[in-house]
Order: sequence, then C-alpha cells, then structure tokens
Amino acid sequence: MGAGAGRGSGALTAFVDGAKSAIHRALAVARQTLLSRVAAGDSEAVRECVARYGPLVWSIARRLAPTEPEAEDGAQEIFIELWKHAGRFDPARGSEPAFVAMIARRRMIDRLRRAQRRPQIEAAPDTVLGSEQHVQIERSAEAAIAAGVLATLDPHQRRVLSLAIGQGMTHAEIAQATDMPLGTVKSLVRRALVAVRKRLRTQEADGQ
Amino acid sequence: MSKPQKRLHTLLTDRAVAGLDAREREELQYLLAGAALDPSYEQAAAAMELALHDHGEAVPEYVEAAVLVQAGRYYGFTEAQAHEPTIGKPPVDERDADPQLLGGPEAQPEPAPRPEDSAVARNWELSPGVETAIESGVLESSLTDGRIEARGPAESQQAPIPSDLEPTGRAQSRRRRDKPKPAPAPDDLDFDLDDDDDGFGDLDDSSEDLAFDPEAVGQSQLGPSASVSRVRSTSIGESRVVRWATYVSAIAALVMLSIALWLFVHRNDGVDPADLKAQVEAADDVIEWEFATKPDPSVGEGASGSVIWSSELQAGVMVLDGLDVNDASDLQYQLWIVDTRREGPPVDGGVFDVGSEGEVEIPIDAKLIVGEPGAFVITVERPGGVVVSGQDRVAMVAAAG
Repeated sequence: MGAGAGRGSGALTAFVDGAKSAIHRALAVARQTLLSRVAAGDSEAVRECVARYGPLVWSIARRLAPTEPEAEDGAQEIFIELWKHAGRFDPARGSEPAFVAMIARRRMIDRLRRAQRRPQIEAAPDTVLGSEQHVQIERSAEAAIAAGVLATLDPHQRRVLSLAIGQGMTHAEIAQATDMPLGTVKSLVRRALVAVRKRLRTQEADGQ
Repeated sequence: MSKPQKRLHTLLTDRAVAGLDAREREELQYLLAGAALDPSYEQAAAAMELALHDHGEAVPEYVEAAVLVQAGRYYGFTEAQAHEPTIGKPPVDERDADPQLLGGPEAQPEPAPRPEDSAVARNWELSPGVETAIESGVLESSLTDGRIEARGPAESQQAPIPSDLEPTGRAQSRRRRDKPKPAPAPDDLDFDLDDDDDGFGDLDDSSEDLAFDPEAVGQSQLGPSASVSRVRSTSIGESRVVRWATYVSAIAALVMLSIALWLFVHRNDGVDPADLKAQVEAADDVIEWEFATKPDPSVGEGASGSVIWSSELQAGVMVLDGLDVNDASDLQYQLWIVDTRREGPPVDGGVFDVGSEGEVEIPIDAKLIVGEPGAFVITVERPGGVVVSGQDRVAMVAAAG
C-alpha cells in the first residue's frame, strides 16, 4: 500500500515535471526572436537575418558612405557589430528593425566622421515603399511613431530632416544646402528628434 | 534642467542625428563624467531613419556573400551543426564557411567575386575594415541602457570576434598555416571604447573581457539530447503506473506545446477593438468623422457609421451599423485611406467582414504609414480584397467636415 502510494506520487511528480518542462520549452520557442536565434549561432537564422535586414543595412550604408567601396566595408562592419550584439536585443525595448538601424547608423556615422568626407552617392528617394518586406520594416512601432511626428511637418521641413538623418549632414551643411538660417535648422532637427524620443519613451513606459 | 544637463542633452541629440566633431566629443565625454550614454537618442534617430527613407536597395551579391562568410567564421558553424555526426568531417581549420550559409550544398564556400578585381578582398587588404570594427566597433552599454550589465548576457551571446575573422584572402591563407584557434584569448577583443577613434574614451561602462568559447555554442545544441537522457534515466519499466504516467505526461506535453505554438502563431490575431478604440480616443491627434452612405446593395436602410483615427498611433477603429452581413467566400469589404501627404492610390486599410447585424467595430489595418488622412472609403471587393480598387462598388465614405 505504502509502496503503491509512493509509486503513484512519483508518477504524479513525473507528470507535473514533464508538463512543466514542455511548457517552458514551448514558451522559450515562442519568445525566440530572429536575433536571439542569431546570437545562439543558428546558421539558418543568420542567413535569414542577412536576407531580411540586408537591404536596410545596405540602404543606410550606401547613403552614409562617401563611395561605393566605403559602403561595402561599412555594410560588412555593421553585420559584424550585429553578430556581436544580437544577444543584447530585447524585444521589450524596441523592434528588431529599429535595433538594426541603430547599429547601422552608429557604425556609418562613426566612419563618416573619421573620414570627414560627404557621401557622393545619389541617395534613395524619400518615403518610397517597395516590397512587402520593406513595408513590414517601415511599419515597425518606432517608425509609426516617428511618422506621426514627421507628419506634422511641411515637406520643406521634412527635407531638412532627411538631409540630417539620411545623409548625416551637419547643421551648417544643411543650412548651406537649403538656404535656411543655421539656427532654424538646428532648432528644427533637434525638436523633431526630441519629440520622437519623448513619444518612444512614453510608449515604452506604457508597455512596462 | 541645469545648463550642463541642457548642453549634454543637446550634444546627445546632435550625436544621434549626424555625429559629433572631435571637440564636441571631448565636451560630451567631460559632461558625461563616466556615465553611460543614453541610447534613447539614437533609438529616436533610428525610428526617424525608418520613417523617412526607403530601405529596399538590394545588397550586391558579392557583399552578401562576404557577410555570410564572415558570419560563418564568427560563429564557427561547426558547433552550430552539433546535431550532425562529426566523425569523418574535416577538421575545423580545413573548412571554410558553412555552405548552408551560402545558399545550400550546391553553393560555393567563397563569396562571389566582385566585378573588376574582387574589390571586397582588396578593400579588406587596404582599409582598416574589420580590424577597425574589432578594435573599435563597440556598441557600448548605451545600446541597452545598461540593462545587460545588470542581468549579464548569456555566454553564447558574448562571443567576441574570433581572431581569424578578417578579409577572405588573408584569413584563409593564415588558417592553412596555423592550428585551429577555437578560443581566442580574451584580450584579443577590446570592448573598451578607449581604442575607438570616436573619442569617447572610457565613456562605456560595459567594458567586458569576453571569452569566445565554442563549447558554449555546442552546449546549446545539446539541449534536446540532454532532455531525452533525463527521461530515460527515470525508472520506466519498473511499474505499469510509472510507464502509464510517462505516456500521459508525454501526451500532455505535446498538447501543451501545440497550444503554446498556436498561441504564438496567432498572437497578433486578436486585436480587441474596444482596447484599441480607447487608445485611439486618448491620442492627442485623434480625428473622428462620420460615414456617409452610398447607393450600393450592401448598404441597408438607415445605415451609418463613424471612424476614429490617430496618425500618431497609426491606428483607428470604424463603428459601422447597417452594412449587410457578407459571405466572405463571395465578397468582402475593404477600407481605403486617402492620404493627403502621399501621391498615388489610397492606402489599403484592410479587408473586413460584417458578421452580424447591428453595430460592429472594425479595427483599421493600414498597410502603409498614413501621413494625413483625407478620406476613408469602404468598397465592396472580391474575397481577399484587391491591391488597387476600381471603386466599382463604394459603400461608405467619411471625409473631413
């Protein structure tokens, strides 16, 4: 009787342990992001990552590099950065496209500042959406919030921001290129970024 | 906000937009006084980058191939394939990048040569390239607002760049001569920004000596095997009760796994219109317009409706009353948003069904970012909707005023 009860108790424990283990595994699978799989060294995820974010990285590298070879070097550096830091991506703090774009921009701006040469490559046109994949990238939550702020600007002001964000031009360069007063350029660019930052932080706070 | 704080805020803003010059970097370093960089400025700039520009330019094949080769070397994909039998495989140093990474078994292990003179390899030889990235390419704790340091990243996520991660030609010739280097010494990787030319010196508090341990990657591959072993180690076969319980446990686990996967796959399906409506109504820029009905067979007597929308949230909800219940296999309703800031056809606002008589709430599913809506138009389309509507059947229209 005692032994039977013991076996029954053991079976129940095994059942519960098995169920718990299955739930944990299922939740772990469900929580996996592409970048977490990349960080774990999943070769398929790495390929998928390059396929998914290659155009994003390449577009930024092209725009912020003075020459095509510089863009090639830059794109490869960006991906190395991504492999190094993929494990630090936290989906609770933002989307993958924004994380990749942030890494790409930082790397290219560093290169640009070191080289002190302006991009000569013709920039891609603004706000032209292509395939469904790019639509998905640009429909990230951060992009939607930024678009909401940018929607309040007139086309001329958007052009200024495009030169600053997209081309990495300094305030003085933008003022010269657009014939706008330097103070106006500075104020516009800074206020727009601060507004986007504020809304992103609000959203993050609401989500936690 | 004090004057130094204000100046710090300005510098961080300018840095995120287009970087700083040497003098400004020094000033920033001084003002930070050793504190970590706040990543929120760069996050905002990245969001604006995504919203402002197209990112559809295809990566040249030779660049993509080079990236994949480097990735193979970085991760050491021999470990990533740990589930495959390793007996008989060539040693690590005789292998090149994982052929799977290059597009399958038929793919070549080398990157596709660039037209002209294989400039990718040339650039690697001539420019600091990867060395620069290794030495200075550091995303400090600001990327994660310092939270990583608090919780500590997983070992498998700390792998530094292996010492042989460099331009294709050099790296290969060196590997042929040298013994394999599965675990470069920690000091091969400098995670301190001191070496970074960007002048941020020791701003980063995430300086970590991170050892690359291929075994760590391999361990992750052993997870499932370890689980199987544990199940076997229990005393199954000693009694029918235990065996029965094991079977039941396995079945229950499978059921739960299925449920979890189903929930994951359908995680975005169940948008609650009421919750969404409350969020949109609370937005600063919310607009609310009434629908006017059009003469269409789908529009019932006394039909009406309204729409609320927030461009800031890029979200909205329609409340409709009097549209005919549709048979989704025959026709469906589709919303279109006329964007006054966008040229071309209206933005697809999503296909929807009216499943019951009376009032229904329909979340808007805009397929593109809407700058400023000029009108909302409901059309009747074939099942699945259309890419561009001929507007042969228009049921309702809502516009400003």
